[in-house]
Amino acid sequence: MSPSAGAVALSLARLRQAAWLPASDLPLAQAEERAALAGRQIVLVGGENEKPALAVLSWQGTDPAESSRPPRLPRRALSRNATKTLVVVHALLSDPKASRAAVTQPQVLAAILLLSSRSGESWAIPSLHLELPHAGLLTPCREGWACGPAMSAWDRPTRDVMAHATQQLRGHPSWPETQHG
Amino acid sequence: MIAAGVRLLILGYLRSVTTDPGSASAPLPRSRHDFHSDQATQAAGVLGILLKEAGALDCSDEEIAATIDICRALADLSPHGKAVPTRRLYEYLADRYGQSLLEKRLHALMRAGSVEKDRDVLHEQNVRLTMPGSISLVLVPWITSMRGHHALLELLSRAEERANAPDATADDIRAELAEVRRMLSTYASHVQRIIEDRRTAEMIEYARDCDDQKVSSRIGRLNTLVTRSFPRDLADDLERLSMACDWYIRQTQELVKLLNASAATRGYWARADEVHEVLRSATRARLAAFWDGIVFDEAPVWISPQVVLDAAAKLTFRPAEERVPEAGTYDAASSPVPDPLEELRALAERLLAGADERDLTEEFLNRPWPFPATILARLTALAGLDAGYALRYPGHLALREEEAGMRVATGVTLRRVPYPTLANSALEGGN
Repeated sequence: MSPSAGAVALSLARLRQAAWLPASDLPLAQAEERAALAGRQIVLVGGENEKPALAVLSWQGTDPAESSRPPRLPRRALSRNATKTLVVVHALLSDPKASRAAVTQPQVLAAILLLSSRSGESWAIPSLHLELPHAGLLTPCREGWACGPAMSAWDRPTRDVMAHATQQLRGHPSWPETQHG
Repeated sequence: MIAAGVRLLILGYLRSVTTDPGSASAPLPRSRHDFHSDQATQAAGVLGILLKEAGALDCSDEEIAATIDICRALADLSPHGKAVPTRRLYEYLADRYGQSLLEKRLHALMRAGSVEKDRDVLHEQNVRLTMPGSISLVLVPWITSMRGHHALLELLSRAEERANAPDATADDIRAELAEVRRMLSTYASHVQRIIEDRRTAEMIEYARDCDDQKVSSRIGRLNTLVTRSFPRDLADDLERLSMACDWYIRQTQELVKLLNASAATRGYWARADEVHEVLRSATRARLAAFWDGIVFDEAPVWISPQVVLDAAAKLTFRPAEERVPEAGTYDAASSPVPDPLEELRALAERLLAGADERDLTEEFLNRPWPFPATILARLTALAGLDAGYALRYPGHLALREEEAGMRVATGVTLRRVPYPTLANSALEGGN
């Protein structure tokens, strides 16, 4: 029996509120159809290694920027400090020489210290523990932090800009070349 | 039907108005009722002068709707005016209203005379709609939805018709002008109050309805009509109407100005029509598309590409290498350093002007200060260096009278001496 239109709308509203949900928690086909009407799409991530598959709500095409003019689109932009931490974490996770599945706090702090010759404890630790996991960009795991559902569902422009930023970090002479996980 | 209802209401309201009352007003009774809905307040405001009591209107929107539906049901169930059993009436409306609500509203209708018993006996159960009830079917929806600006335009239309009527008297027109003026003043005063209280929702609603240009042009047209029919009798009334119109225009313009000043309000206002249009006609899919990403877009955190690039630039910041200059080597040809002894010699030669001896007393006496002191100090140093020059002080004083007083100079003579001196020769011979 197919779920009612109300149930589909409700599950889509929950998904919109939470940004990601276990895929088993919502009528996927109907929710995808409904999301497509509003220019959104549902991306399935995970599902391997006994991890539950997650449905992540994203946008069709490029993630739209904030708009203050009608039709208004308020966006919760990631803070500058969290973005800085995210760039370092992403560079560590995607480092082909290290092939890490997760990063630890000391690794992140050491990379920041090597790059900028300054301690990043005051801003990187809150971002690692709170802001980035809350945004779904990182997932806490036993080893530290792994790639989160929102990061797995990045659109191509976001992937491109993050790849550009991480390449810039790895090109820095102080980048921890031999720092293996 | 609505137009007929409007005229009926207006005629009833104006029946006793023949002149412009400027007399002292009697204290008016205040409403004892705290109305539960805007619709009830609106209806009571419009009908107040016609009502013996406002109790029938002291109800919620649902109760108003139930009242209207009772009247409609009675009309539908009994097209030929026969009485309808109340039990049948309640059954007919059971899917929309609870029985206790229907009973209360039916009793209120009976007290107001809109519904009457079939027979005037104690336990009569059959009721029918009366003429006032039938009229209320027409009037109530119009009254509850009529806004101030709509009423103002209706009044203007009626005043124009009256001014155009061939048998209209000056008193009739004066009464019409007074009504329009009162309406303008009331409307403008209300607008002023909502501006002062910053009641945003009402401000937006009134700003959407009001059209000061339309009202202004309609009043201008009315002015022309009245002036043509009564060129002198109503000049004062027209003047007062014009002042009320100015007051109205000022308030509406203030309202629009205030709304335009707030970006947030402007956005809401600009979107209001679109929202209402969508809400009226859109499919569910269109509604989802309309709201999505505008109001409920909470969760996905947006990563600004510019912030990412800035973050990478900060993390990989390397200060630009500043060039350290090399240690230099002295090159006499490229950077000659003047020899102080040579400078002093040049000074002495300049003063001697080729002679072996020269009295500098006159020079010191006539050159402005501090030249004499500076020259004397440098020449003294030169003489002390045994560089072939000596100073001699004959011991006389030279005087020169000036405006501020008397200038005095010691006698000084500069002369050449043999070089090197004896002292230097003795020193060299000793070594």
